[in-house]
Amino acid sequence: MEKMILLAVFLPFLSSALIGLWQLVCKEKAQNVAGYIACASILVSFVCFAMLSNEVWSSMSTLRFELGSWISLGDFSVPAALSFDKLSATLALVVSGIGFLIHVYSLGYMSHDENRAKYFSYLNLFCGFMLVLIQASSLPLLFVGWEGVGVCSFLLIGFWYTDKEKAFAGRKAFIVNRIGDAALIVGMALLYWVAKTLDFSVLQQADTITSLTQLSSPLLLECIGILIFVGCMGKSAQFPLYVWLPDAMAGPTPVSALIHAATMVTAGVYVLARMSGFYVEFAPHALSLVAFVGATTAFFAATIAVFQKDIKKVLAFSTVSQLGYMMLAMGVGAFSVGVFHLVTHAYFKALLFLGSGSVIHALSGEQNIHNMGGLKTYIVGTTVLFFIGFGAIIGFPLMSGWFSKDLILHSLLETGHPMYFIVALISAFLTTIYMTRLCTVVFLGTPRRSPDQLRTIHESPKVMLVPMGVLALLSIVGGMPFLSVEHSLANFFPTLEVEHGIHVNEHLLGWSVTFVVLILVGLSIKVFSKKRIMAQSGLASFFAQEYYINRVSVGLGSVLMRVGSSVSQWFDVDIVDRIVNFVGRELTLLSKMQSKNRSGKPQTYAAMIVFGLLILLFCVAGV
Amino acid sequence: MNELLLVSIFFPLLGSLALYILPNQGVLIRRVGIGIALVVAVLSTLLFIAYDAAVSGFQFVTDVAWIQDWGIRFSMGLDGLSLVLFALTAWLSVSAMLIKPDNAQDRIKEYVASILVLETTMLGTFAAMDAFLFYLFWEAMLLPMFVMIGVFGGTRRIYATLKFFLYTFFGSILMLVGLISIYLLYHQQFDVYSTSIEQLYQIVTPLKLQIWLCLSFLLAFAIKVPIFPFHTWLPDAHVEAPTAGSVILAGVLLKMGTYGMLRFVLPLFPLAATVLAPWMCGLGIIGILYGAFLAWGQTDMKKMIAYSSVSHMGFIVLGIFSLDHTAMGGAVFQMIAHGLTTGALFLLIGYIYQQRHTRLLEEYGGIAAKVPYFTVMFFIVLLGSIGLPGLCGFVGEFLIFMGSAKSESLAHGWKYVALAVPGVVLGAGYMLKLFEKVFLGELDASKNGNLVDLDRSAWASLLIPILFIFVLGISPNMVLSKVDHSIAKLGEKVRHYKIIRTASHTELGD
Amino acid sequence: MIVSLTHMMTLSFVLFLIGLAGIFIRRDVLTVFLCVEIILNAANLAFVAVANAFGDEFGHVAVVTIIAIAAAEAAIGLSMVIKLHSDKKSMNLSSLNELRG
Repeated sequence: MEKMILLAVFLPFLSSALIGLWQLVCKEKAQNVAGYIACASILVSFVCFAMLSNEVWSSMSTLRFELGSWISLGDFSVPAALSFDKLSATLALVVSGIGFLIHVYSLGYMSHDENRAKYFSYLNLFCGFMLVLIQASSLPLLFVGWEGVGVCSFLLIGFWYTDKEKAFAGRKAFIVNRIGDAALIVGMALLYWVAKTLDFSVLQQADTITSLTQLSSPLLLECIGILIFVGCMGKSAQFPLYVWLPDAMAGPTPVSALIHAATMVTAGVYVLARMSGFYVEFAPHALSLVAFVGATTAFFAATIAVFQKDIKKVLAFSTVSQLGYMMLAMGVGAFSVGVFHLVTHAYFKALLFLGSGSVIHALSGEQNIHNMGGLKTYIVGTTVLFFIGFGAIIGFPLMSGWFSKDLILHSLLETGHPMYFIVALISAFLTTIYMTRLCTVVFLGTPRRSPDQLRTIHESPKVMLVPMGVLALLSIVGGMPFLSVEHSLANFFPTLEVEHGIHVNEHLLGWSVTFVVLILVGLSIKVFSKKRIMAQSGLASFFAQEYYINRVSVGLGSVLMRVGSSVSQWFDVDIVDRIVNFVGRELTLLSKMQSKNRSGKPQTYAAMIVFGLLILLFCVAGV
Repeated sequence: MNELLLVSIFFPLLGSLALYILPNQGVLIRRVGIGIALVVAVLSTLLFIAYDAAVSGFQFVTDVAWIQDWGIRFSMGLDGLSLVLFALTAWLSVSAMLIKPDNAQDRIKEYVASILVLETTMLGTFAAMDAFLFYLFWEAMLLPMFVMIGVFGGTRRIYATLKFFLYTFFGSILMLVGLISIYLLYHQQFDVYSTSIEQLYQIVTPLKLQIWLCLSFLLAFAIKVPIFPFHTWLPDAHVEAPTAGSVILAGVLLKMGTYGMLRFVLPLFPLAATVLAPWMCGLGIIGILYGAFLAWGQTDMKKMIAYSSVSHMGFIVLGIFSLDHTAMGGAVFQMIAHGLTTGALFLLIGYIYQQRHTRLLEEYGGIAAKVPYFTVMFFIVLLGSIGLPGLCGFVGEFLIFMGSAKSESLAHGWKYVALAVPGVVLGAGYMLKLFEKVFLGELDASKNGNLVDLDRSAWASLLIPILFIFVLGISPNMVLSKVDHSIAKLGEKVRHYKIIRTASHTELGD
Repeated sequence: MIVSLTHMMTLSFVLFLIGLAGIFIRRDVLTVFLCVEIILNAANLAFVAVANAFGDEFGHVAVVTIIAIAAAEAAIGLSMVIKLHSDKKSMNLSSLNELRG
């Protein structure tokens, strides 16, 4: 059974390498077959995970597969071990399942691209690294997957690299992520210093915990918690390290769906879930920071999303906002709820992105929502599926988002955070507003395209619609009690002590929120179908420009680099090197002075010798 | 086996002499050179496999009396530390030999001979167990490198080679003074003369003298590494050196400095090392950040990689002077990793330079579409260089960070880690900038339309570095297991004195 | 009269001074060369005298070595003188000065 983990994890790597090499060797032939190989490998690995999940789901047991030692030096050692428990099972199913659907969707979406074999190779590689991340048994091994998905993200964002802006977006994503990674590395180093281990299971053992409580200062442990969280902030696009995610939309839309909505960006949430024992035990204040950052992100990203023009940018900020939601849940100690929202969000956000991809595909690359409108009659299938995703994200009753979002709101009150509850509630309303705006402007109303353009609109092929259909189904039923991962994961996580819990009736809360949301939907449709284009007031552009956070931070970064490099360049050339050359020149001058005495006359030399000899004799005689 | 070591060291030297009786045909001479380097590489691999990792201390030892009155012996052997560097040198020499020389068409014999002589001196430096022999090879190494840059280099080659030669020679002379002092100290304490490195380890030196002697050695090694602020010879030398010269310079010669630190500074001057450790780590960190900033601002690709070497070598210095077993092991691993990745980067840059005769970033752009294999290889090497886990660059950096944070010799080791870690971000910054400017974007057909993808000899020279970038990333234990005991032994005295020093602070003063 | 060590050392010193003076005064290459030989022989004489006086063989060894080396030196030196003479048509030392210090 354990060997199956290996198979399931390495199959995507294998097929990625295979496709990658093949498309390098014979470019033309590989293009058509590559997609099918990629789909098949992910499917097999999904089936493996389904079987494995069956094993661990019923019990608390952990499957562990050890391949031997990866790094070992003296008393430091990192085993190459994969472990599989309930949490990894959940995530692995999401990654391989949604991964498979998006692979299939890509068959249609990328069918005209001449480099699609390369695309599938990258996509498979991504799935492989993501699975390593999820199943790593220790932080260093997790870091392998962590960085690996970052590279794949870089490659896929810049997939159409001839466009300079897209290439830059890839680089930006990688570097912003690296800032988080650097913090994560320091966190790991500190953790190893105090705990002498980086293995998740050893970290949770009782004697490690006791030795940690006895030996280390609480402040240091909080620092470790914060540093690891900063790593998560980078990957999960939390304020202020979110700046890479909107730009990451430069990649092909299925990539946005898989990497920048459903899986990779949730890796930070996963790490917090994985380290939940540590956080609850040693770093409760770091957890408060998680909650604060999460709430901030959820709220501000939602406000930004309201004012975006690009269909993918709206969804991107929506993702940032939802990730903030998950972080908020993690921060208040509702780990199982956070993971539950991660899963449902993966369903509906993947669906929404694929839907937007279908729209963009139908309009031959148009992304500005103000150039759309009235598409419901032209692409019926996509419209229906998109609206299902819409229902799920705003929390339409009994759809997946409804369950998970209400659980988050409820747990915020239960754990005694009324302020966060209010912020989360407002964000939920904002979510309703921007999603309604998006749907209204894109699908309802009158078409804003010329008749010529309208004639070319075409519904996407079945190979794209079917995966969306499956995701739509999951978005509808994914939150139902029988599919909910929340209950089965609830006892997996430790519980944070609650001081002043506020108890409310869960159903009452849920339905009242739903009531307000539905009213908001109605109001928004009215407002947005009337006003064709949002007034470009100063405030609106302030929001649309992301509070200038992006501009300021990118500007700051590039100024820092430029100043840093020109100051060091000046210092290097004008000071350090000048001193070196000065010394060299001075020595030459000294020797020039000396060489005046070298006349080439033997008699002079002889006189010098005799003179020296006399001095020597004098010295000897003197003594 | 013992003879095998001697054979592999002196075979290139003999081969270079043999070159002179061969007819002056470029292809033939190059083939012979490649053959010799390949034989040595295979021998080094045999030695690598035969080395028993469980035993600490030197193996494959040859020890014969040489200049008896002065206690100088001809003794050579390998311990774990020198073994891995020995193998790296042998294989990188093959890569260097496989590169088509750009400026040496009419003087191919001299070119190949200088690489071969260089190889012997490098291998000899690593294998020398006698301080005198070490010094001999250490200085002899400068001469073929002087020729490589000064004769086969670019337009400002005379300036660059003189700077390189005089700078490193200046440091070495001070080291010679230090060596002689230790030699005399040994005589004072044991009443016999000896230059055997292992015997010199036994001397006991008062702290003040130790610091002065330590500084004389450190200066020589710091110039070679190079540690800020002694690094300015490096970019000049790299820019002017032919590709093969750059590969060897970055791949092996820079490691001589850090090798010397581990071989001489830590065991000979354990007290001074603990006293100077924070300063050295500080210089290492300055090097990391300063080198990275400089690399970011360069427009010449070779200069960029040269400054990135300053940055990467900073990590190694930090690892060594953390005086922690894990960090020192990481530093040794990073030496190998840096040798492979930077060597390969210079190979690749040299390859397009041969076609376009420019290394300026703005001259390129979008060449990924034109040369796909080249791009893939460059990207892999780049990822290895910026420390992507799973490739070789990560393991060294990671071990250095883990070790420095828990180091008992550095007060607040984690602060050093926190200061050094931005280097990881900046590293990704300048490397990806380079990649984006050269490979991505629109292809300018008028400039780069005629670029040719990797040819056979380029593939051959890249094969070993690329292979080991993967292999060492996935299975780093291959190297770590060999160096484990040797590192422990070299660090032993430092730890020992650290304990004594903390126990009684004043006792060991003068 | 017994030739004492003092006599011989005096003679050696006088020879040495003669050689030295020759080097300083004469401009002729050949003469300077001869003077160098005289200095060498002054040293030889001193060696033999001291060896004889103290019964140490090392002095004799040194003399034999010096004679051998001087012979070799004379061979090279004379051939250089002939070469110079044929090249420069002059035996004057100052005409050979090419250093531009």
